[in-house]
Amino acid sequence: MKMLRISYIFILALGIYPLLGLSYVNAQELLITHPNNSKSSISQQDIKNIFLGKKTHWPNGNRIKIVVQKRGSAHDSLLKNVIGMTSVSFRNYWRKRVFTGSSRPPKTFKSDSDVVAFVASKPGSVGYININSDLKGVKKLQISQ
Amino acid sequence: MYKNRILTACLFIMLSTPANAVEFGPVEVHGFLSQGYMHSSHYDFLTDSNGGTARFNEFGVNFMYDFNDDLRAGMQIVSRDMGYLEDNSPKIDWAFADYHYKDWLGLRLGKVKIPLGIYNDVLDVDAARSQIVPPMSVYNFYLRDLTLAVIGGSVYGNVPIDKIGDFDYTIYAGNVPLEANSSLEGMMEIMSGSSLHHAENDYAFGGNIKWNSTIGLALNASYVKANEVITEGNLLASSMPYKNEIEATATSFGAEFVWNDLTFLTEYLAIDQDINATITTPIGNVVTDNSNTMDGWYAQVSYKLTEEFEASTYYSASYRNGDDENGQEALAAGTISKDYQAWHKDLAITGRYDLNEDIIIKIEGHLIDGAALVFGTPDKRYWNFWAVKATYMF
Repeated sequence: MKMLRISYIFILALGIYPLLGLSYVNAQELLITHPNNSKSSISQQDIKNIFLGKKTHWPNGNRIKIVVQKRGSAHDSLLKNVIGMTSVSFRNYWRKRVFTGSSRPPKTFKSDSDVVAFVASKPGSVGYININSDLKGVKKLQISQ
Repeated sequence: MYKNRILTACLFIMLSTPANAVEFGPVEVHGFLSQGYMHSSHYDFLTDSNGGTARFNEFGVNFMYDFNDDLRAGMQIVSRDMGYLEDNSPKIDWAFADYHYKDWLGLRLGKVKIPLGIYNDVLDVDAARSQIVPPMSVYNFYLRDLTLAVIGGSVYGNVPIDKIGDFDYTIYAGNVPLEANSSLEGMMEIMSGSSLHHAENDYAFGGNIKWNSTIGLALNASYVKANEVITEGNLLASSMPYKNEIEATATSFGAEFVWNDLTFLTEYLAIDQDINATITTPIGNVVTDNSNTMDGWYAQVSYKLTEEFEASTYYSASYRNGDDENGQEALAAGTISKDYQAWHKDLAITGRYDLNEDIIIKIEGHLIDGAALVFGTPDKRYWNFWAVKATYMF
């Protein structure tokens, strides 16, 4: 009986997997990083893992500092197109990490200019802003496929 | 007095600074406060719910401090009132130093959570659960003290594999801190009709691995072995003293699939126990050895009707002994008086509404078949309970 139940869970799960295939959607918002960051492009999976707190180091070993916006179109676009979450589920995801001690929550700002100012001042940081915002002091980070 | 001071201090921090984390210099503070009401149609279940009770709350506060980019320390204190199981005594939920060397390798020392199943590590945090009462087949509140945490250490990490997603892993070992005044006391009363005066564990170890695919599918497997769990007390019927020495192994498998606004979730848990029991009778000690497997599973579907409102339904079935699901052997042996004491089957409908960034409201109803997890004399097979709960967090 036990083995039957275990088999049921995995057969159900693995049966779904090949039917779906992998799909990537281009993000519409603008990702930014500190000008000293040697990377100018990053995969969609990596950027997702960065904003979920799973990828915490750049390839050179420096710590990644993520910045998020409290709300707004850039925030909703990144969550929908890159992270695959809603604003509420993203917030609850980070609550889970905070209340299990897994990590501190990301720095949160209310405006593009605050995000730009923070990213410009902190090496290793990464954030997102509206696509037409001023990039003074920061560098654009392209999402590669 | 000590308990009240801590509660007062933490409540003051919470209510004086709504909405965001509190920062005392480099120390960041977060917290949550839940108050619920549960009403059962017949039995006392978890708390004194028969007829309704408000003894159903959770409260927690945590502190985090970063020494540098890779080394930090933190602690969370949780207090919970759940009638028979908890009485608002503040307990350390987790407390550890965390050295996060690489994404794929980190080390925690202190009191670290046991990852048993997909959601065990967040079971104490109402904000992180979809339900007020999660499926008891896998997340059994009566076993909470056995499955909460170990005082020792853990190695953890996240390993990305190109195209197929990433793997989270955790390996841990240490001592499970047990005490008589805990949820274990309720478990002993229900499962073996005995009181609990003393409980201890020698050591436990285990691991968890979770595959997070790129398409919303996640598979999880967990294992934990607890050596030398000792419980001592008296049999309630005869007052004779007893001592149990238990070796327990728990295994769990689960799958979660998120597809747009739908989430499918199913998990299975089995706890194998070898129990050496010594009962002191007027004519000498009676020693027995027996083994059994408590097991259970559930399947759940959740749907986000709006971004803020999520409705879920689950069916959960748990058995005192997976090899005797219909209870006939236990009935013949006289360890239960009704066959429906052998199982607890729960059909639940739940709703969660994120009122704003700080407040969550939940409501749910449960139709129950069985009396495996209730207090009192079993005299009714089918019963129900409902619950509401509000949680504030910062």
